[in-house]
Amino acid sequence: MSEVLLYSLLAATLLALLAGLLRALVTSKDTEDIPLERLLPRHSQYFPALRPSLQAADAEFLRSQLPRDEFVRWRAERRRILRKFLAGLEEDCRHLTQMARTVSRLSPQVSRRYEFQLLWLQISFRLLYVLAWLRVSLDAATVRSVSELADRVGRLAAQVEAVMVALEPRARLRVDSPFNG
Amino acid sequence: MDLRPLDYGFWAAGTILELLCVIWIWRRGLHRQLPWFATYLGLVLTADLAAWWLWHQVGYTDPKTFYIHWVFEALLLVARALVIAELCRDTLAAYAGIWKLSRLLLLAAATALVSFALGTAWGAREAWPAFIYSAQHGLEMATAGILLLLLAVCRYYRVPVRPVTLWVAFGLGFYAGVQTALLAALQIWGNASIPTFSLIRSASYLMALGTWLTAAIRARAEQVSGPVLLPVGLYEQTAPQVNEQLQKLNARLLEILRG
Repeated sequence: MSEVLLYSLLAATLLALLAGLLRALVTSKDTEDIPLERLLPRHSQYFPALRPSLQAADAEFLRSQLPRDEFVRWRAERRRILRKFLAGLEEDCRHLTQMARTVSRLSPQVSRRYEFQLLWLQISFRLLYVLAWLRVSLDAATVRSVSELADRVGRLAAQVEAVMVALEPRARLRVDSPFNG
Repeated sequence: MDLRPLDYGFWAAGTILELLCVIWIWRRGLHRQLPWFATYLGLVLTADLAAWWLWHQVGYTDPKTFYIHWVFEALLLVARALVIAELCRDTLAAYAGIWKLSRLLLLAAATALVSFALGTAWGAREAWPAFIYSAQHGLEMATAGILLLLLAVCRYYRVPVRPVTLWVAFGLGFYAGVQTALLAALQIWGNASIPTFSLIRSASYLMALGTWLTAAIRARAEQVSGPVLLPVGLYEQTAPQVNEQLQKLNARLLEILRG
């Protein structure tokens, strides 16, 4: 009975995925040309300016110095800015992967290693993004467990990276490009 | 075994739609673009007409009917596999790089799914009907799985898919998905549910045929030129740098998380 239920669920999922993919492919506008400069990462460069606002010590200091309502307002504003920054990072990631997939699609040869690495980086970005969003949105009490989880994801990413390198030991070509700025 | 008027209605509707599909495929010249799909539809039409003739002239219990039915089933199975391979080639072959990569992926998935289906069926080999159901179930799921993977690859790489190819894939996948659900449900409700499930199956097949017919009617005879590929070497320059940038983005997120 449970096996039958599992198969039925699987069939329903298959049909739903099929309909979803069909809809996505029919209405896809991603193949439209977007200028290259719009696909380059733009938001991550503001990170150094934002870094101090992430320090827990700052918050502790302000909590002790400011009246409660002002501290709450400061925290809400900080949260808004960080969320905006996260949305910017997400846009950077989307544009970069869009460019990478376009190049892969139009290349006469692609490397299995780079493609799986790209896929893995996107998956880990999604995971980290959700965690970071929670970290920014939730109270300090829950931050520690989120950070631990993030560390685990980070370690896992490093391990996958090492496996990929071991599987295909190819020298990486390094040339100057608009990315390195 | 007598057929109900509704069964005759589905049979006749299916045969008429198959005939219309074959006619429109020829009229639009789609048999040149998707030759195995055209062959498959021709074979389905022949099988239906043969079944009709056998049923009424030779008899349902005659061994000849049994053997011809299973020969057609085997041929249709092979033809369907070839149609799926054709859809994959038609969609991705123009993109040499990702075609090489996804061909491997699709072949591996197909091997795994078909092996699983046959393995499960082999476990039920003591009882002939159970073996057939099991194999059919697994193969339908494999069909839906491979088509899903193909569409997912197209979506991931933003490969433009011709509407007719898309709708042919959807029709096949939809029918396979419904079959998977029905064969699973049949195990719960038993043989008493066969007439009802048979009607649902026929209705879903008519829907798939309707999808193919609409796609064939709407298809335009077009000579689609292949994409202009980038020079060799550009990928080798770009891919590591994009991945490096993504690593940096991940590092930023980790930094935010660690506070």
